[in-house]
Amino acid sequence: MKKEELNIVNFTGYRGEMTKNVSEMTHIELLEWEKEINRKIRTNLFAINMPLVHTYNGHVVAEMADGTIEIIR
Amino acid sequence: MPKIYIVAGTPGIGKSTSGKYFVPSTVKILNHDSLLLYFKNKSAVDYEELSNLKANEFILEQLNQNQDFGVELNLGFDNHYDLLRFVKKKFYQYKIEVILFHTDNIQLCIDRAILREKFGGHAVKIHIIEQMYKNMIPLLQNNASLIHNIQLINVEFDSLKIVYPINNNLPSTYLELVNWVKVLSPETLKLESSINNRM
Repeated sequence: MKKEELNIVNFTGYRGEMTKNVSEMTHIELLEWEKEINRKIRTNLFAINMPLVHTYNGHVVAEMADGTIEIIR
Repeated sequence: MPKIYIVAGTPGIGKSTSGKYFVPSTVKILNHDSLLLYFKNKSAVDYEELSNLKANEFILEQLNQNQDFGVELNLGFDNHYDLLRFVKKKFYQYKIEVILFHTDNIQLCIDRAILREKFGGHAVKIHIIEQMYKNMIPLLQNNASLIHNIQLINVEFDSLKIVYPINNNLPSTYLELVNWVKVLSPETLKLESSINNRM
């Protein structure tokens, strides 16, 4: 890769998504926010074709977007 | 005062997946792993050097413009604190906020890292994960004076929860079960903000 090509690489990262500081949230807002994050994590992983690793029936499993579940341990 | 958000944690803990929810919207967060993968996929022979160059360029640009920005860093080896030291020395107007994702279950990081590689993500050797995990808390304690503010997030297989600053939504028994927070003892950390308050 040439140096000129390096200069045209766009920013590689992402932007924050926090709209309210957690320390300023009420009890109810914080509860809702935590639930929402856990939902978003699932959606975001599936969107980039990555599995969600979680526990299910006492096993650690990898769940894919199509619902396929692979037992890890 | 401009701020740097350091999204920190052992590989596989979920920095890229969850970090953005703890950083204000509009703030850019650099993901060095994405840069590495980008240049690797471009078949650049010197992809590590190129990604470092690009990362440094982004950081210096933000610092010189007094912009708030974020960086993902493991903070699992002492040299990972070099950026924080550099900023404290040369850009002392900046406040450094660390958002640390950690867990009592290292297997969670290993499982996720292995699967990430299997599905096309970047690879991290297991012994590196283990070493970083072991170093994480002692290094944070040793380098607390570089940090102005800290948020701690406990990660489990099925959820993540803010454990510091104190989260009143947590059952009183929850924290007793999170060993790493007890070991770190965040109230006793000599953060930059607590040192300044005493002066």
